[in-house]
Order: sequence, then C-alpha cells, then structure tokens
Amino acid sequence: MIEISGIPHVPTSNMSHRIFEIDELVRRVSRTLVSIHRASAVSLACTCRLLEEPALSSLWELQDSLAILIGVSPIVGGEVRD
Amino acid sequence: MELNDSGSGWHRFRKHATWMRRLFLREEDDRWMKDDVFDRLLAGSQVGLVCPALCLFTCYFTRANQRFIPHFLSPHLTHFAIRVRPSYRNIPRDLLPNPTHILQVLPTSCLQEISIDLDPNGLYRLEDEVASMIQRFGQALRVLRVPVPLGEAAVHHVVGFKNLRVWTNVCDPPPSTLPLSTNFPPLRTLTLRKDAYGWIPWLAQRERAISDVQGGPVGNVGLKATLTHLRFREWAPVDPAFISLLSLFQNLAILFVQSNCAGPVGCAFSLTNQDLAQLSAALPRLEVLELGRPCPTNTSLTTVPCLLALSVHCKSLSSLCIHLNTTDLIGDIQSLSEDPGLRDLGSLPTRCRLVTFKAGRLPFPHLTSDEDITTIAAGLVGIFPSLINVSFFGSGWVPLLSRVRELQGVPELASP
Repeated sequence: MIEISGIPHVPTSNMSHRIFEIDELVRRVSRTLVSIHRASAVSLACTCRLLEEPALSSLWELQDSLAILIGVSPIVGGEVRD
Repeated sequence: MELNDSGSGWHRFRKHATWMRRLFLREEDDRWMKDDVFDRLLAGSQVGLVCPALCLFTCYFTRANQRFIPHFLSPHLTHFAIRVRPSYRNIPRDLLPNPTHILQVLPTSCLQEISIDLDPNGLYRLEDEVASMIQRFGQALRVLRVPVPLGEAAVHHVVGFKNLRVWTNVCDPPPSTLPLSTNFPPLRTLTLRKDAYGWIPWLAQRERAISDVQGGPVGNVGLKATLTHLRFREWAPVDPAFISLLSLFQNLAILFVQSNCAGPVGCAFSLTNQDLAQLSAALPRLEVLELGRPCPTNTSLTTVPCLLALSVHCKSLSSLCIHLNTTDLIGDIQSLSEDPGLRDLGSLPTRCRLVTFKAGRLPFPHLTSDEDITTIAAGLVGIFPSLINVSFFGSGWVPLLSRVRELQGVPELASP
C-alpha cells in the first residue's frame, strides 16, 4: 500500500473518493473544465460513474451545431436505428 | 420503419437534448433541416421542443430552417438572436425567410436579450408582429435589438422596461404623448438609426428637466448617469447644435457618428476647435470619438488645438476620427507653444493613450521640408505621447508616419 504523507489512503478499486459525491462541487469543476479544455472534460466524464453525468451535462450545455445531437439520435445518415 | 419510443437510443437523445442550454445553429446545420431528417427526429423523439431547457439560441435565419426554429423556442429562453447572411440582402423581398410565425410564438417571459438582424426592408412589414411581441416582454429584458419602427403603444411599453440596458432604435421621435417625466430605462447603450435621431432632443430636454427638479420620481435616473455608448448608424450632421446636446451625457465612453461627406449636402462636419474643446471637457470619459470619416475638402474649422484639448481632457481616448484642417499644419503646431491659452492647456500633465491617428482622406500639406515634418511629428507626439501609427489613404502621410515611428523608437513598417 502506498501512503502519501498526511493523506489517508482510500481504496479506489470499486468506489470513488467521497469528495466526488458532492454534486455541486463536481458540477462546478466540470463547468470550469469545459470552458478551459473540453477534451479534459471528456476524459473526466470517462473517469467514473459519479463524474460521468455532471461532466457530460456540462459538455452538452453549449453546442455550436446540431450535428452532435443528431449523431446521438437513432437517426444517422437518414436511417433509423435502435 | 416503426419508431420505438421506449428505445434506449431515443432515451439517450432526450437526456442529452435536455442538458443543452446554449445552441448556436450554424449554416451547415441546414442540411439537417432540408431533408426529412429533422421531421423524423421530431417524430421519433416525440417531443414538441427539441431542447426543452434551452436558454440561449442563436442562428442564421434561412428558408430551410424557418419551419423548424419554433421547435427550439423553449420557455426558458433568456437570449434569442437570429440574423440573415449578408448575401440575403440582395434577394427579392418575397423570397426572404419570413419570421412572422417565430415572432408570434417566441416565449418572452424569461427573455433578457433579443437581436433580430434581418433585412430592414423586409422587417418593416412586420411592425404589428414586433409591436405585439414587445407588449409580451417582461421586466427581465436587458437588450432589445429589433430594428423596426414602433407604434406609440410599443414605445410606451419599451420606455417602461426598468432593466433595459441596450436599445437599437429606429423609431420616429417619441410621440407628443410621452411626457418628460416618463420613467426611462437606465440605458447603457443606445444605437439610433436616422429616423430615430429625434430622440436626442427629447432625451436632452428630459436630462435638463431631471437636473432642474430635485428629488424626481423614484427610479427616474437620467441617462447622464448611465449612458456609456451612443451610436448614430446613419448620416448625421456633425454641427454645434447636434454636438452640444450630446454633451449632456457625461458618462459617454463611446460616441460614434457614422457620417460621411459624399452625399449631396457635402461636408457634414462644421464643428470648431471651441466646440470640440467644450465636448472634451464635458465628456472626460470618452474612449472612442468618431464623428464621421475625414473628407479631403480640407474646409473644416477644426485644427491641431482641438487635438490637444481632446488629449488633455479625455485621458482614456484610444480611438479618434474627426475632420481636421491641415492647410497650415505646421503653423498650427507652432502656435501651440506660442498661444498663451494653448500653452496653459499644454502644460497640463494628462494626455490620452491614442496609438493611431486616423487621417483618412485628409490631405497632407505639400512642399513640407524635412524639418517641417519633424516639427509636425514632434508636435503630434507631444499631444499623443503613445502615438506610433497614422492611418490614411494615399501616400501623402508616409513621411510623417516614418518620422513619428522614428521619434517613438518603433521599427519602420515593412513596405507593402
């Protein structure tokens, strides 16, 4: 076990740090990250389930085209899938 | 093909669409509108509104998307802007997209900003629809850029907006039924088209009335305290009577008059040094002063001393465009140190931060010796210590520009 000085070790194998459960904090971090570097916000969304929704919702907040929205619909290239 | 509403694909689509708050619809998006893709999207998602929580919506308004825009007009909209491509301005009126339906169904309860930048000639047919829409706006409205003449009732409604900060106005002068004691929104930015210039005398009269009456109606704040940007978008006479009215708005940072002297009236600029000195003293916060493009007739009554007055009084001035008589440029520069009144003014320590002197089409005096050019350059640098550039048409000002840059220790500009 690696112990960083002064910081208690939190097992992360199947649970995230409890700080990620503070929704308001995570959303604020996500929004800031989206405004600075969207690619990092995408990485954040992929990190764990607790971060996925706040990060994705921040990413989706601002769209400069319909293309991405159409892309996630079951209609792609004029065809319906699902 | 049957659409499956319970499918995870549509569920995901709706979730993501619900997260959307701001959408900038691009011209390329028309291809989603033109085909039946968008129709199938609406049918498949089984929603009336594509993005039900959308707050900000901006788009290019086209014939292809005009039918679908209502599906983005969420009741939470705070910002709404549509505009047409510049190329649309040459299209016959009947072929232009028609925003009537959009104006009728636009949710206005939360709206804070609205900008409709369409062909004005086409918009003028929509006076009734615009007036009706304005009647539906609430007190949240802060920005109103809808260049359509308004009827009396709509004008009364607009001046009642307590939070309106930005107004682009093409209306006729206010109706006689609008008393000076009427509350007026605390505008920061007022943009006027030609037919609306009649507002200035009314507003000036109102300012004087407010100043005269101690303890006027609550909230009846004068534009003197709030107005920072004033723009005249079409030809205006730059004469003493017009400018003296503007001097009342003491907080102005930007004063822009889009005037040129190419029309049948000839040169529109008839200010004197005294007028500009008074203006500069009255509006010390000016950052941009543009009073029409300088014309080559060289008949204006303004000379170098007015530049000194502007630089001394308006220390934030960073953009200046005025007529200047250059017939005796060297004599005017020399008189700065000889005239007692100007010497006193010049001895004041403040100077503005102007970097570029806009000479435009002003002629540079002929037969100017090298020594004279140095005198003129030094004189201008004395007035504008940050000056490093002179913008002009033709080549007459080139030697002066080189000398200014030399004096300021700035490398020569590369030849084009």
